[in-house]
Amino acid sequence: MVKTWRNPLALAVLALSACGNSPPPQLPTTSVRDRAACHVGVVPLVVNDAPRAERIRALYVQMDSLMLETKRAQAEQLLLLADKNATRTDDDKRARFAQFQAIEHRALERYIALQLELRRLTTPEEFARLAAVK
Amino acid sequence: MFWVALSTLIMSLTGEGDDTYAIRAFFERSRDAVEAQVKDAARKRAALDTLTRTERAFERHRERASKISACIERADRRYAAVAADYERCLRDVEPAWTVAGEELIVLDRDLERAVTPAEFEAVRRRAERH
Repeated sequence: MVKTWRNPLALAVLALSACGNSPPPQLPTTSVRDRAACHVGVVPLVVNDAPRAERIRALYVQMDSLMLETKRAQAEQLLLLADKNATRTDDDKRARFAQFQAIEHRALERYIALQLELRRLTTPEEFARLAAVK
Repeated sequence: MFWVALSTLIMSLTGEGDDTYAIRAFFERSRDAVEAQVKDAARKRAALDTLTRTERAFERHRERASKISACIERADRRYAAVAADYERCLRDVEPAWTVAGEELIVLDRDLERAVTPAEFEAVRRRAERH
């Protein structure tokens, strides 16, 4: 099933750049990854202090990696959901959904910690300039 | 599993591009498949109705997820945002998925009931072809 959708998905992703605007409704983990990825390259342009800029950039990289890993983990649950042998009953399906949302929730909790750390590392002015990027 | 897996798959793995188009195309293909594969008028009507309800359920969930995303984005843009601001955004994550899961499970079952096993397989094969 994943294979079936691979081509249109790839086309859809290619259709817009990583920083494209007016996206359709997105999952929270998708939209935060979208924003974090856009910031990685611009940090040195906003933050003049090189060591601090590197730490801030590393935070954005962590956010991006976290969400990518989350997508992988969620995809595994969805493959199980699609597998008749792994998902025989409605309770099995509910368990897969519960696991899916738990992965989403855990990732967002970690993301919040990274966002709060970002505030500790930036000045209000730097933060505002970064927030203006996307 | 057909609807639950496929719908969720689309929902979770896209979002960075025009997945609205991909989703619409999927439902159009599914309707075409039902029209072509299900000959009995009553069964066809029931299957098409299930497809419509699935599409609506799907849309409702996407909108709900989108509100969570918007809430997080607002917090992301505020330097003064604190953990409690973010936590408020996450309150609906579990309920949203629970509701969507239940709806899709029921609709999945409804579709299997609406048509014969052979028709279901034929519809599934055609809907997944592109």
